[in-house]
Amino acid sequence: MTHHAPRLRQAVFVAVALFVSAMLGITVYTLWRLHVAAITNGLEISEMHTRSFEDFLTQSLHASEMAAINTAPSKAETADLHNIGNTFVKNLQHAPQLRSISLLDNRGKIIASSNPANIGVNVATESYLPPTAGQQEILRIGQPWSGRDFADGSPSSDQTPVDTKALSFIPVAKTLIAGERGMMLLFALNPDYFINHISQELGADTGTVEVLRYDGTMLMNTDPDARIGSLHAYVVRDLKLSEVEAGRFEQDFGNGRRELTAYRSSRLYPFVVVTHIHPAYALRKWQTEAKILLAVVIPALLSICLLAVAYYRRQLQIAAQRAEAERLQRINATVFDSSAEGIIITDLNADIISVNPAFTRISGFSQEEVIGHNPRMLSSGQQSKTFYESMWKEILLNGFWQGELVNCHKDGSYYDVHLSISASLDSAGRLQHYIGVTTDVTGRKHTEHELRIAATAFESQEGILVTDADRNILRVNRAFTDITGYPAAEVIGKNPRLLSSGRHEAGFYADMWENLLVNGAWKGEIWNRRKNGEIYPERLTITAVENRNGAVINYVASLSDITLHKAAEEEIKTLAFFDPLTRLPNRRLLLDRLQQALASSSRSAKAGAILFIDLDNFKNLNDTLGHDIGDLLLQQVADRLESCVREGDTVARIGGDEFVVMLEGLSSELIEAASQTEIVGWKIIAALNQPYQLDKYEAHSTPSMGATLFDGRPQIIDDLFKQADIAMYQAKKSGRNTLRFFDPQMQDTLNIRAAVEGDLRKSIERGQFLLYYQIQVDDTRHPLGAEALIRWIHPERGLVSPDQFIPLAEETGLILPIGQWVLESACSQIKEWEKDPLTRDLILAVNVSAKQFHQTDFAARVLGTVQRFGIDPTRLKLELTESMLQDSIEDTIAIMITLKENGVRFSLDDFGTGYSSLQYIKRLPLDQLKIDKSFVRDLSVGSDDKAIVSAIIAMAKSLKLDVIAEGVETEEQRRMLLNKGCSHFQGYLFSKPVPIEQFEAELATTFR
Amino acid sequence: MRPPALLAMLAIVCALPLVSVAQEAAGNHLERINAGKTVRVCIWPDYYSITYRNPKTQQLSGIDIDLATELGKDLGVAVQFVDSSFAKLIDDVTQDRCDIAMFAIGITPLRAEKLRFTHPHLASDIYAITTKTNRRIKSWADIDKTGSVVAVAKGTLHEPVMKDKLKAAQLLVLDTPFAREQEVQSGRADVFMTDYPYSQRFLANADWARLVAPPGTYHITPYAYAMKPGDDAWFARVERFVSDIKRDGRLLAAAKRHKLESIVAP
Repeated sequence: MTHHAPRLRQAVFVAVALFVSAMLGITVYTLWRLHVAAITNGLEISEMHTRSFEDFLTQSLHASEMAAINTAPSKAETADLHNIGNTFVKNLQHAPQLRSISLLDNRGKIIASSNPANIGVNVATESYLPPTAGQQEILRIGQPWSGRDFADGSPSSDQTPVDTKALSFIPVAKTLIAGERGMMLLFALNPDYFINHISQELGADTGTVEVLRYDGTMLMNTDPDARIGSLHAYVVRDLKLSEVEAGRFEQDFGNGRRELTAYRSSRLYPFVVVTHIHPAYALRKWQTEAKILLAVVIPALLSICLLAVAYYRRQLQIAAQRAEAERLQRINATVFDSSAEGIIITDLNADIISVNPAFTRISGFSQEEVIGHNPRMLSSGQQSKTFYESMWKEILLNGFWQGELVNCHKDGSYYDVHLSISASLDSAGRLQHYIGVTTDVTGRKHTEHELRIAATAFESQEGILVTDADRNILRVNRAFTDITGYPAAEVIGKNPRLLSSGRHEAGFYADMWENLLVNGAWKGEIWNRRKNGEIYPERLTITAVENRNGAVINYVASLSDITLHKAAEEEIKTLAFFDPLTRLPNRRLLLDRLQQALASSSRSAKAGAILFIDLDNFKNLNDTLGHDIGDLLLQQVADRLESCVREGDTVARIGGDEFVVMLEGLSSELIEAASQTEIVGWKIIAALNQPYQLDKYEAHSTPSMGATLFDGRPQIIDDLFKQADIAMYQAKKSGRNTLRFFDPQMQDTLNIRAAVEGDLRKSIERGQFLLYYQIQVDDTRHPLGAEALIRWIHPERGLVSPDQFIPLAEETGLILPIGQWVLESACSQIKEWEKDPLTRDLILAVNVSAKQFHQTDFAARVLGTVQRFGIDPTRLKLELTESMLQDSIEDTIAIMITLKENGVRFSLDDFGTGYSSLQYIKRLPLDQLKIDKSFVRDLSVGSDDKAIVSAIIAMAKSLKLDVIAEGVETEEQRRMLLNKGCSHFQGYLFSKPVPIEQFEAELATTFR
Repeated sequence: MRPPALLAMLAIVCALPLVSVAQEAAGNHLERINAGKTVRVCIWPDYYSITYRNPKTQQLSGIDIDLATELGKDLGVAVQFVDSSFAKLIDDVTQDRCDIAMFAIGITPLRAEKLRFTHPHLASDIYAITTKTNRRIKSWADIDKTGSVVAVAKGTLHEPVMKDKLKAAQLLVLDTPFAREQEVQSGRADVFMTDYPYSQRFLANADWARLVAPPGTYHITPYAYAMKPGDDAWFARVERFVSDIKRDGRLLAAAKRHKLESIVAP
């Protein structure tokens, strides 16, 4: 290709250059020929015009001459000159070429004329040409005159030619021979007539015509700038008129002007007509043709050049393709020869035309032995006839077939081949050959068999995982997916670490890998994580696979899920520590846990408790309904017990119908712990007292329960068990279905509490509460109002102070109904007071508990009550304690504002005992601060308290709040308070809390 | 021409004794026309586009030839054309050589004294004709220069107008047929004066001629038909004819035929 291209380029270039040169040559030659023809044609036109004009001029002059001669008198002397003039005028009527006709006498004077003005004018005719030679009747032409006629004209000379704008005429004389005295006819020739005529024929752009006298004097010219009368002798000389009368030539004026000139001398008169045709005119058509020709030829040549370039490129391309094809062919040949696969090429009749060396190697037949034969010579006879039929069917249909078959070697042995047959088509899609490619697959078949075995092994029940040396997973089997939940696609390429459960420490894995490196294998149990997050135990065997050089190339891990195995182990463990019937811990486990609980208790100082539970009359049920039903009961009891305790607590069955509940983390106060235990105990009793559905029977069962507490102090487990057991028997003795504590004193305390709570509950219904009123006064002991204080009138125990029942009421929630009762009673009292002017202005303060205040509808309840009783809300004052305001500040403020906006007053009780910030107090809509009685009590002794009281009073003043001191018992206290600026008081100094009747009585007397 | 007409009339009188009521011929053209079944129309046969007689065929053509024929039709009589010219016009009409002169006669004060004109049917300005080779006359302004010769036909309206207007140029008054053209063509005169109809037709035929038009309006003259004064009936009849041809479009059609629509009088 590389040596081919320049040669091709050269050939194409030479061919194109030759062609283009030839074409250009022909074109130039044609143009030249046409140019010559055009010039010749121009000369011919010039010649034609010359002849035409010469003829016209000569004829016109001749006609004029004849007419004049005929009218001329024979003798001048005898002629009637006037008549001659008139005759001349008549002659002129049809002779526009003449301006006038005159008659000259022999002295050169005009004696008669068509133009009377001419008469008398002298005209010198001596210089007229041709010169006179005796008395000859010849026409002679004179120097042109400027002017219209002889009368007003003057002759020109070659030095003074006629002005270009002036009129001119040419005098022409004709000698008449009449008698002795000669006469002369004188014509004034009108050059305009001729110029007009010529201009019609020959436009100014075509050429010019000049008429010259023989001596070169210009007589006429179609060029308006020509000087008539000027001499152009050399022109006439050049024409060589003496030799030829007419001619034509290309005239070069030397100043760049070129003309196609033709000339012709008059056949009668001494003038010559010269026509110049402008070459531009003559070549006009030639130029157009030349342009057209070039417009055709040049693009055509350019197109041919482009085509040649395109052709050249195409040839290069074809050459490149051919070279490429040859290269591919060489490669194909190499492939054909060196291919490991046997290749058989047949013709359309399936007769072998070529085979490659590999074929010989596989079949044993050499190329010579098979060429021209049908490939069926290789047939082993192992395939059925239909096999071949379907094979050919597919080849004919699809042009391709592949499959495996058994062939017969030249030596008679059989071998497996993979054969593919393709129909080879030419570019037009016509079938050319069949190409068969055979591969000896005997070895492969063997390998396949082995692989199949290996694959079967791989797909065993054990999960198998294969990684590369970098521990990236290469393959997993189906069992792996079954066990781990990961499909192959999700793990391949990943590190097996993704199965890690996180239960093993890093050291575990480090050991494992060390083992693998040293021993090439590892075996053990491991916790792994399934895809669903479940952690399971597996037995894992990892084997390192090494290559020939001893380098690890793979790791093969086989793993089996041993969850079931582990579960079995767990079951065994359960049997040892749990009661198989109820699945509750057994005595052994209970003791174990109790041991731990005691240790924990001694560390944390929190108390714990043991509850012994025995089902009453279980034996009877067992005997009457059978053991199965008894077992059902025990199971349900176990469930109920578990539902009654917290998660950390233990419920155990220690035998028969005996259960133990162990509570941990109770209060460190034993009494409190006892109370907590009791609550759980009664909860259990309540739960177990519910009816049981045992199969088809409904049964009732009650427990007897004994409890004992343990705290951090060292204790012997058996002692605890015994204590609980004793307490349980006490419960049985007490009539069953009850709970007994081992400590009798504790039992008493609990009993009292229970009694009080019960009473308290009943007392609301039974109206056993009563309000006492303690008066509040100013510095003049004038009554301002009172604080309502609750009292409980117990039917057996008499008056119970609030200290003794309010905490219990708070604990049990009974404070809410009690609080509401207090509020209602107070409102009722205010209503009563409104009737009496004495009490009308009193403000009644009511204590509100924290639980009450934080009820969601507290504000609504208060306002509802106020409204229900129809009292003035400003008479009601709610006393709050600092501590209850600490929680949810914003809610507290909101509740207070709601009430305050409705007129209800607020007093802050126990002020100074809490930690309220001044900032916070400022935000509360308070009316009053109450100085706690503890400060008042110590006022006389402690200087600290004095300072506190002073600070409270100062603060109240700065906040513009009232301040009242409670617990004022002595006059000294009152005085001190008064001195500090506190002017409101409450206390025994004035009155103790008293029933309403007494209060009103005192009001009427003492505080009047 | 008089003797043949009288003879013709005598012949008619003899042939038709019933209408031989004595008639005074003069002053009663209509009766004479009706009696003679002929209307005599004076024309100028050199007048291109108006009343031109082609010397080669002797055919008459021109707008007034057409309109005279129309007049004849309207009157129901034959038309007899009588050759005249502007030089002879007044004589020919007043001496009754024709009943009417129909060759686009310019209404000039001189003529109006002697003749009775209908309402004008055309109106034309004055134009000059020169040769193509004349180097001195390029435009209208070049005409009235010392040394210039201006030719006019005798008796035409141009004669008095140019006589009045020319200051420097020499006026050449000619009365032979086509004398103006010959004078200009031979170079004895520089230009001749004519009107629009003549110039248009003339330029179309003479290859040597060149038109020199005035830059603006020079001297517009209304053209009409002329009759001998005194015969009101005849005059009224002809006036009616003029208004008829204007109204019914015959004038315009004839003008278009001869390319004169631009100078038709309103």
